[in-house]
Amino acid sequence: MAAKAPDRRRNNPPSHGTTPPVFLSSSSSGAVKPKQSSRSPDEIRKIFLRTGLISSVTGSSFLEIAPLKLSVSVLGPRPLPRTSSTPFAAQAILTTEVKFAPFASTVRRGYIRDSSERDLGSRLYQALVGAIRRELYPKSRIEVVVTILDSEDEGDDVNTVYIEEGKTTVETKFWDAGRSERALGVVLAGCITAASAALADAGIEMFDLVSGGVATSFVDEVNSKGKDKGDAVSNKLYVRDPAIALPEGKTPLATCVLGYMAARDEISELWISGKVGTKNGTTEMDELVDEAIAAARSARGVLNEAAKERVQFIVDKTGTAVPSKGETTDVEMSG
Amino acid sequence: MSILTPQAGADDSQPPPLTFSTSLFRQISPALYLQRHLVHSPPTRPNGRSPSQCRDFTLTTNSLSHAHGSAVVRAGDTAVVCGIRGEILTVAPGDDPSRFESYHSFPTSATHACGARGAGGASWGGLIIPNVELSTGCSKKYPLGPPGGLAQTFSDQLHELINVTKLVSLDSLRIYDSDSDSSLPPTMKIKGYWSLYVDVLCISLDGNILDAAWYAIVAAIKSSRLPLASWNQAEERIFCHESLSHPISLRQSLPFTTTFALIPLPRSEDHRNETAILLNDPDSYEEDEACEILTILSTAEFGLAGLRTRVEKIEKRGGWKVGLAQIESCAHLAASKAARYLHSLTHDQLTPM
Repeated sequence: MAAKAPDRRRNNPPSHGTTPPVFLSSSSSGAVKPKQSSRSPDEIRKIFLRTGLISSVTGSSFLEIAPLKLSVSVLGPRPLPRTSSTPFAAQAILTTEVKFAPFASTVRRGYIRDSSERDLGSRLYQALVGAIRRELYPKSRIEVVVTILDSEDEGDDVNTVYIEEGKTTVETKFWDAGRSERALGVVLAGCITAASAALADAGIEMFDLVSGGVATSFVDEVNSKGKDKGDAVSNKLYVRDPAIALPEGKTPLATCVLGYMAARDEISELWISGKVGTKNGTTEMDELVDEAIAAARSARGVLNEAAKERVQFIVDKTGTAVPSKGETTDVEMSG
Repeated sequence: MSILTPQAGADDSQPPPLTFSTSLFRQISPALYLQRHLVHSPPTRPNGRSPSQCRDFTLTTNSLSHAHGSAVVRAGDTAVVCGIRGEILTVAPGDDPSRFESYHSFPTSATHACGARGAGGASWGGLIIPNVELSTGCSKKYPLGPPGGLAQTFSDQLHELINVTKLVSLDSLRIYDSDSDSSLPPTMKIKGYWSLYVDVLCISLDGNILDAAWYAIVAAIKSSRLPLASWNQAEERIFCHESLSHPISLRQSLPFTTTFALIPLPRSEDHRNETAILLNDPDSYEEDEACEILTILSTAEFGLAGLRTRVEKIEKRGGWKVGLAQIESCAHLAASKAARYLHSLTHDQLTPM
């Protein structure tokens, strides 16, 4: 990964450039079996969500779903800078930033945000902007910063070279079209859930909490390859909160990620990628979206608990029934 | 607090004097607020600690799945995550590998002043590349975006610490050509090096990031395991073994930093003999009021005669007078802190991944 020019603001690698390690597998027969999860398809992974861990910002949260670990901090609402160039803003300006840590994925990421990070940032913006009562915070801005510390990224076979009878092949063992969508989808859903927890922790008024949900539809491998697609009722398997590893003998069709406000039954962000068609009157898309909503509903339960826990903590600490964030950040005087 | 007039007890007949709640006082006059705390006997800091008391810290190693080694350090409200990522640097034929094996062949901050970096350019680094990222929304005060002065300072300080202490024995980063003629001297068989990206992300910032970051770096490098790499003659490139790995060897006695904040203190009414008090492990509120920062690098190792600690480096950038006795007591505090660091480091080493 030889950079074009050294970054003036950071310490740089040697000028030769460095390459990520490439692994050598002696035989492709000993293929790494993707780990099969024992979850049922309609069960999401356990979510760990805790808010208020960062004391120096208005609101923060930390979320962990199996390998995915991310930290969200909310800065503001704070006044826009008073310069002549700043336009008047009747509503709060929301900015979202999503950044992977350099060590968060299989291949080291640089410090400069790449396109997928910008993409996740804009989708997160879309999911949150409708839920915040921005008209209550004129002339101010709210910043949501997500730092992803660890993620379930492409497996280690990205950098594996397989040797067969002295001949090397650089191809990965199986080609999975929906892989990166599923990986990013899980990350985005986690970002949405954690960010609304952090916004709630910051005491920013919202219409409803937004929770993220992902679902992927799979078909049997034979069905996707064979031409008997029309008549045979190919059983679709919908998996909520899909893992990177494919279910046995299945091929992914489409992945749906959404931000969902359960109390208002509204979708604030919808992202479907893959193949969806119509079949038997009901559209596949509706089924897929329903599955994703169900996943988001499950995540909402965790979100509610985290918010409740935090309010309880604040009430216990201050001894008053006013869960005001400003009071809790003060240090009690002693002596 | 004796200096604050209680609001409730104000007489009704005359207008109450201007009073502030303690939280407001803390905001509008931080220096005075801090001083009033510290002139008490015994002196107590606003956060309830005594001047020599440091925050409790926790260490978790190897909790990240993609890094070769990682550590999460939490000291009070400061939390940093350090991930070590090894990448391979292939030595081009005809290159002198020894130039990678010296900590001083690459410019440190001492030579930066006249080097390329001082002239506004950037420089290429050595095998160990530390970077600190503060733009993670870790604090209200730190702006988002590219690293500012503070982050660059810390990155540079850590880079220098790694160089000065020779933390990693660089020959453990060598990658050899194992199949080649055994009569060759070992340096001729070097085909490449592991280059360590040391990325420190500050998740929550509440002062004294240097100690936390340095401790995280030491713990993360100590816990990391690099895949076994060797030169493949047929493919003419370096491949790693899938299942075998090796640790990175560190120096014998591990260095740890302890940071103190110097707070000026008016002892008498005339401000002539101003003194200063040294606060161990300052939080960001105290750091903002500090006129100077004192950093002591002390080493600790378990020897035959039990734990042995030594002072390796003291950094005090002038300005304020500090008595020798104060420095000495700080050195003792630093030594005991180093011993605690070492203790938790050796006891936290759970099963390596």
